[in-house]
Amino acid sequence: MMGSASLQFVAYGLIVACVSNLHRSVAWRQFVLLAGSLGFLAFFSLDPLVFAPLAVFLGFGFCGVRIIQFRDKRAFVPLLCGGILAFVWLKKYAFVPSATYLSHPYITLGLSYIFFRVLHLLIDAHSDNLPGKISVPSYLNYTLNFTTLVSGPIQTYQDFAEMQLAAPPRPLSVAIAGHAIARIVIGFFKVNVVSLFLSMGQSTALAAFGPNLGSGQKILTGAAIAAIYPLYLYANFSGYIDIVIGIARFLRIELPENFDRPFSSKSFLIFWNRWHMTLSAWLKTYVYNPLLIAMMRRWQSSTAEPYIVVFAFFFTFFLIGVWHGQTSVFIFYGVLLGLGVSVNKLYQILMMKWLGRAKYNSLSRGLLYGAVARGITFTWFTASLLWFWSNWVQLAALAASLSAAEIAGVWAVVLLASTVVLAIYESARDWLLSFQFEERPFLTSRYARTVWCTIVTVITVTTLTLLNAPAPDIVYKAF
Amino acid sequence: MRGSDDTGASGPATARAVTAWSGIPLRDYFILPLLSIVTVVVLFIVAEAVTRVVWYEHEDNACVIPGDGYQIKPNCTARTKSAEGRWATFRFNECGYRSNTSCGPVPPGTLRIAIVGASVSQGFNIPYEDSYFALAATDLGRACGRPVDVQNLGKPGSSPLYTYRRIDEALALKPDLVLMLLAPFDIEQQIDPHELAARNEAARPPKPQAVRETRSLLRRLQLLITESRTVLVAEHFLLQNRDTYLRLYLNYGDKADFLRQPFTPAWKQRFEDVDLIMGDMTAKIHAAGIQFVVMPVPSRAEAAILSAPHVPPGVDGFAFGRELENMAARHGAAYVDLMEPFSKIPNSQDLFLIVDGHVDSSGQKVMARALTRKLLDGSFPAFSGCALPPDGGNGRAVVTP
Repeated sequence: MMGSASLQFVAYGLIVACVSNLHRSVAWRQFVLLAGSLGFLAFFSLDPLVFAPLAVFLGFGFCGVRIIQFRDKRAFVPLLCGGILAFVWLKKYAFVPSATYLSHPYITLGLSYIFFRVLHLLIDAHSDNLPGKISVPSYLNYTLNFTTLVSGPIQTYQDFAEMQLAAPPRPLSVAIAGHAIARIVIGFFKVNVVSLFLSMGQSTALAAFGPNLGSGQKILTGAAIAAIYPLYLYANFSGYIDIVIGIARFLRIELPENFDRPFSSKSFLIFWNRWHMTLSAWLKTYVYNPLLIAMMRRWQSSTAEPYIVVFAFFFTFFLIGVWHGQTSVFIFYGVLLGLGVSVNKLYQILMMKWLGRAKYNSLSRGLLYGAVARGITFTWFTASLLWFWSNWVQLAALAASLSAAEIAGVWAVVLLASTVVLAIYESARDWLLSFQFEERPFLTSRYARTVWCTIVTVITVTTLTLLNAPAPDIVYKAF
Repeated sequence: MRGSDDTGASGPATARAVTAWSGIPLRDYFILPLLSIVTVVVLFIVAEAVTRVVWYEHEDNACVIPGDGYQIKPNCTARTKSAEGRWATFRFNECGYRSNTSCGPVPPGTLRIAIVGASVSQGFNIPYEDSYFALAATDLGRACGRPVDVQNLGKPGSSPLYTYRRIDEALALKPDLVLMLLAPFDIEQQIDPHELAARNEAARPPKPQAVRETRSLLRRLQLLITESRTVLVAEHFLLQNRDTYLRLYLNYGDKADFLRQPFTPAWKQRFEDVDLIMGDMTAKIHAAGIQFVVMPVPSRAEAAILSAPHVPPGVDGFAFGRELENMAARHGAAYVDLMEPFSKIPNSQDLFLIVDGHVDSSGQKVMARALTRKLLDGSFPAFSGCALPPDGGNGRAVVTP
C-alpha cells in the first residue's frame, strides 16, 4: 500500500503529471488524470468488490446530478437525504444498527471528501450553478482526483472545471514549477520530519506520564501531551496539503489553500477561516448560510438576530466535529468546537454592545490583547482536540492521574506558553519579513526559498535515511 | 509563499532579462543551483564542526615509532578516544606491550599469559580496566589466589602471519599459556603466498615500498566526505538498527562472504592460510611446553545474525567460529567459544562500537567471562585447583547463565 505522503506517492504523482503534460488537449489530460486516479486506488486493493460500495455511491451521485439538472428538480430533497444516509451507513456511524452493515469488507478511502463533492454537485445542480452538463470523465475526475481524494482540499466543481476543461491548460513556467517543487519539498518535510518528531515527542510524554510523577512534572508532561498534538496535526495535515497542491500544479490544476497560519489567529472564528479552510468554506456555503437565512426568515427580529448567528455558528461547527468520527467522543468534540465559535461570536457581540465597534476594534489591535487572544484560541483548540485523538478510556485515565488543581495547572501552562511562544513567533516573523529585496520581503524571494528548500531537503533525506522509519500516515486519511 | 509574484518582472529593466517562458531572469539559472550547492556545503561544514565537538576523537601516536610497521616506544603512555568510545589510556611497558607489569622474568608464584594478535587482542580503544584481559586477569587471580600477569603483544593491523612471526617473542616471556584472538577482519587481507611460504625463514623478505596513491580531485572529495565525522555520526545512527545494518553489511560482497555457506574460494583460501599458520604456531608453542588458546571474536555482523530472529538463507553467523574451532581441534590448540555466549545475549550487536566495529566495554565482559570459564575448566594445568569466584566474576553483568 502506498503511504499518502510517502516518496512513492510523490513519485507517482509526478510521473502522472509528466504523462499528462505530454499533450495539451483536454481529452488527454482527462484521460491521464482518470487513469492516474484509478491507478492510485489500485494501490489499496486489486479486488473490485471492495470498491463496489464506493462505485455505487459515485453512481448514485452522478445519476442524482443528472436527474436534478435535466429531469426533475423536486428529486433534490430525496436525493440529498439519500446521499447523506448512504454516507452515514457506509461510514458505519455508531447510531446506525450494526445489523445493517455490509458484511463484505470495502474501502471507504476518501469517502468523506467524495461525499462533500457529491453533495456540492447535487446542491449546485438544484440551484443551477453548475457550468452545464457534467460528463462521466469530468465527474469521476472531480470526485476521484488522486491529489485530493484522501484528505482534500475540497475544491468546487466550478474551479476544477475551469482548469481541467479549459482548452489552454494553466501555464507552467519554470518559476511556477519552482514554486510547486518548493511546496512538495516543504510539505514532505512537514509530514516526514516535523510531524514524525512531534508524534514521537507526544508518545514519549504519554509514556512518561503517570500518577507516580511529582505534581510539577505531571503538569509539565500533561501540558506537553496536550500542546504537541495540534502542532503535530498541523504539520501532518498541512504538509500533506502542500504536497498535493504541488503535485496538482504540475497537472495544471490549482488546488485551493487549506491552511493559512492558523495559530496566528486571534480568535476561534478567525482560526476556522485559516484551518481546514475548504471544509469551513463548504460548511459556510451549504450549512451556515442556508441555516442563517432560514432562521432569520422564521424569526424576523433584530434583537434575536445576533443570537441566531451564534446558534448557526454552533450548529455548523458541531457538524464539523461530528463529521470527524463515528463515535460519541466526536459528538463531544463537535460540542466543544461549536462552543468555541459561538461563545467567541457572543463575546464579540456583547463587547461591541458594551464598548462600541471603534473601541472594541482598537482593543483588539492591542499587542497584549492579541497575544492573549492567540493563546486562548490555541488553548481552546488544544483542549477540543483531546476528544479528537483519544477516547473516553484514555481521557479517564489521564484525568484520574491528575487532581483538579493539576488539571488547572496543565491548562494554565498551555495558555501561558502558547501566549508567549506565539507572540515571539509573530514578532520574529514580522521582523524577518521587514527585510526587503526587489520590493518584497527577502524571505519570500526565490533565493531565500532555494536556500530554505535545500536545507529542508538535506534534513529530510538525512532524517529518513537515519531513522529508516516509514512515513507517518496522514491523520485526515481516516475521515 | 504561494501566489506571490515571483516572475522577477518588477520593472522594465528586469523584464528584459526575464525569459518569457520561464518567468525567471537568466542569471537565476546559475545563481539558484549555485545557492543550493553553497547551502549544502555550508550545512556540511556546520555539521562537521558540531559533530567534531560532540563526537570528539583523539588519536595519540606519541608511542608509535615512525617507520616500518607498528613499533611501540618502551615505557610510553598514550591517551586516545574514538568518536564512539570513551577515553582510553594505553600504557606500554619496557617491551612495548600493553601491560601494567614488567615484561621481565615472571615473579615467583605468578601466572603469566601472553596475548598475541591484532587490535581486538590489544583491546583497541578500550580503557585498560574495561579490557577483557584485565577483567579476566583479575578473576583468574581471585580464582587461583595468586597474581596473573598479562603481557599483551597485540598490535592493531597485525595479520596472522605477522602474529606468527612474533611467537618467539611471546615464548621468550615464559608464559603459562599463549592466547590468540582472531576476528574476521583480521584475516580479511589475502596473505602474499611468497611471504607465507617464507614464514619460517630467518630473514624476512623485503616489504614492497608503499606506492603513493595519486588521488584525483573527485577521489579526494569522496574521501573528504566518507572520512568525515558527519558521515561517521550518520552511519552510527543508521547502523544502530540491526535489520538495516545486516541488510547493508550483507551487500559488502567478499568482505561479508565469511558469513555465507559454503565459503567462497577466496575465503576458503584465507582459512587454508590461517590453518597453515595456526598449525606451525601451535607446534612451536607446544614445543616450548606451553598451551595455546585460540579465541575467535565475532564481528558485529555475526553478533547481529546470532541474535536475529530470521536470517537470509545461506547466511550462518557461526561459520567463522566453527571453522576456527575445527582448525584448533586439528592442531591440538584449545578453543574458547565466544559465538555461543554472544548468541545467547539479546541484541548482542549492541556490544560493539557501531561504526568502528570493535567490541565495546560491555562486550569485553562477555569475552572475559568466556575466557575465564575456559581457563578454569580443568584442562589447563597452570590453572588447576583454581575455582570461579562465587560472585561469577567480572563478566557477570551482561552474561546470561
